[in-house]
Amino acid sequence: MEFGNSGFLNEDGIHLDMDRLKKGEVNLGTSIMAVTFKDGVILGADSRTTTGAYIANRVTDKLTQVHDTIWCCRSGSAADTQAVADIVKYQLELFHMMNGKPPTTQTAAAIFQEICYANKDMLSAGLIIAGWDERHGGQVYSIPLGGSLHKQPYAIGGSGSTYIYGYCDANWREGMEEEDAVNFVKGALREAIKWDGSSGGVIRMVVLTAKGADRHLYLPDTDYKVRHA
Amino acid sequence: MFRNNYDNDSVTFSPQGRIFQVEYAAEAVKQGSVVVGIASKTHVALVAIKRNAEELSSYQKKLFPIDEHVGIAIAGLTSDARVLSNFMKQQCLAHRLTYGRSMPVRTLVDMIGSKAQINTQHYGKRPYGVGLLVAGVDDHGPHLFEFQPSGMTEEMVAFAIGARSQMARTYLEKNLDKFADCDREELIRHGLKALKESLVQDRELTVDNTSVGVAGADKAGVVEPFKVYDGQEVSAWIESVADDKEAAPAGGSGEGETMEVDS
Amino acid sequence: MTSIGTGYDLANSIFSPDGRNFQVEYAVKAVENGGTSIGIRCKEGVVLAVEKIITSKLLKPNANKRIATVDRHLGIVYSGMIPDGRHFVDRARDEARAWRDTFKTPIATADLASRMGGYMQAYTLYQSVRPFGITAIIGGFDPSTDLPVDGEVGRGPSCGAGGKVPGKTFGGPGLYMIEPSGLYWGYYGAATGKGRQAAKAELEKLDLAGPGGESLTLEQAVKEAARIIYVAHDDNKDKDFELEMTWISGPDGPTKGLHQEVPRALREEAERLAKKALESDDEDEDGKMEE
Repeated sequence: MEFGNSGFLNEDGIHLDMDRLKKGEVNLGTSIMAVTFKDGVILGADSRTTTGAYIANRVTDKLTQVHDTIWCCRSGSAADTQAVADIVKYQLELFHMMNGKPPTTQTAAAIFQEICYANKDMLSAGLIIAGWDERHGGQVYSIPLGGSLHKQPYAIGGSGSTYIYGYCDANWREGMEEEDAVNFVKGALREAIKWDGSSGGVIRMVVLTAKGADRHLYLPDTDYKVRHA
Repeated sequence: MFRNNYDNDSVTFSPQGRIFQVEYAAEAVKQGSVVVGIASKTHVALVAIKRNAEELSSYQKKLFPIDEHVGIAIAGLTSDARVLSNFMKQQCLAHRLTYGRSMPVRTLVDMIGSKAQINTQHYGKRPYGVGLLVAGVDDHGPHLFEFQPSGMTEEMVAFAIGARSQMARTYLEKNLDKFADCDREELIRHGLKALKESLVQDRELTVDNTSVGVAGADKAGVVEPFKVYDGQEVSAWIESVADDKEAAPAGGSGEGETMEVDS
Repeated sequence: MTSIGTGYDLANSIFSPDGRNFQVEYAVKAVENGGTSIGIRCKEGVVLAVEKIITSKLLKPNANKRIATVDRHLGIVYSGMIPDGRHFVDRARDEARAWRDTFKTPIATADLASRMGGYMQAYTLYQSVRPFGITAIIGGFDPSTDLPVDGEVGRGPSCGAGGKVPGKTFGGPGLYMIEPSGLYWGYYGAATGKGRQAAKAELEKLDLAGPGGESLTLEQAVKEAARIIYVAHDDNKDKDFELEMTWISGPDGPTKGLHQEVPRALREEAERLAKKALESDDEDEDGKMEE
């Protein structure tokens, strides 16, 4: 049965296209997360991009920089989330120039939300915004499908996240050391990759602290144990 | 043609920082016949002198109801007043639709103030050539506001605008302390007496040339809707302030009762 | 006035051969005829005060407010053409609202000053408009704690985020004054209107930029503001006036970060002290005369 791509009910009155993806649209069937820790915040993601059952890219980078120390994790339509991130990136750069001071994570999250909510009928984008600023330290905001904004100590998202609610609830702690936080993110994403068919590939992370942005890469070849450059 | 180089439009300051076009518009207010407004703790009254172009023509209206709780008195260009009055009516109606209650008087007055200010800052526009007294009641009781062509709006205890209104204002200033505790009838009589001060020699208040408008809120907060009285309805009030009755004690005139039958 | 008769002063946005815009200078004249407005910035917050000249006995006492609240934490007072000031305030409210809509957080005092400076300047650019006949003083207290998020769902995390830079402070009191040209500066103490010269002299004595500003409490600032308005008025005692004052403290102060009218009791106390200070000043002067 064709479910269409309108987001409205199908003619049978029962089925609808939940993901609202067009036929053949590239999907970030995904596992993403971001956590605050003692010195800042860490974003993490798998790297699988699919069109239906086909893996369009096995080493995708779903962690996108929108300002110096403000990043986002993208899930949903690759095209939609890239477009939204591009707009926000432009807005934040403009903000920095116009006001002579860097935007806060919260400002970034607010702009993301404005776009996601205003265009909710046209977008399929589930985003996690995480960033570090002098004033607020590390912060995590989640913007799920409808365009609401949630400030959280940590957030998980994407299709793979359904498998790791228990893991995260059991293992997350407030104010972790960097090493522990990296291992927490890695452990959670490994579980998500293991159980979710739409997640896989490498694990990417970004650590945001007063020192700036630090990228991590872990490969399945070494069982995600070794940090690669 | 012009008195000086700085009075051609409302977007040119004079070297003293004045805008002559706005000042000239204020002169237009003085061309209009006089209107008086007074507020007490319970009521607010507007009284006005109407003019007729010639003996046999009708008289130009001076008082206009805006909403149940607000009315205005005008002095100056009647057609400009109509624009403002229509605007105020629309705003009051829209406010009732949105909030389910009447608009606070200050909010309404601020709106026409903002509207008029725009006309003093943009080329191709001219200031409104009319002054208003806005009378109304809201949750904070009765209010009286003055509106000027400059966009200036101020809340007054009592005021008079229009031709020869200075005499009326002098009367009001003299009796200022009495107004707060006046009842409805006393307030109207004070208004009419102030009005008489501004009359040209040999002119008198008549049922044809006098208008009275009142709105009120008693201690329980119940509002007496703004209503305009004309013609025979004002005869008793006019009589009660007739020169020969001046010494007679106030009160006892029966016009109040008959008029409130349908309110 | 060398400008008169040259023709270069007959329209806005026209430069004279020596690079002046006379219409803007004339707008400043309109400001100089208006009642005095002042602002004082001290460590604990900001006080705004205005001398309202009583143009008629028939005005309702204390009913016509001149200091406007623009957002929870922001106030504006102005001298000059009052309808222009009202328009300016309306615009400032729109700016504050738009900022909240876009960034989900209150606008900083400096940012509002910047926006309104730009707005004022735009009215010097075109022949189709005239400059504003006001000088405005903007006072505000920007939150020193984490910036709140408007419309946040739930209460957010109970735990604080990690990695804050220790020892750094944010927010605090802000005071800006914008002229008809659109020019604006930040101030420790600002004054405009008819009595600005006397008011500025008094403000300078407070040494707000130095130790004076450190030690002055908000309540003292209120009393100084009242006194300064009385001093500024003294020079032109032809007409009666009303004093209106507002203040903004930090979250721990009396207004809890909000822009509010100074409580009546405190204002009356401040006015009593102001009158007393003036009387003793007069006596001093009389004393000197006799020497």
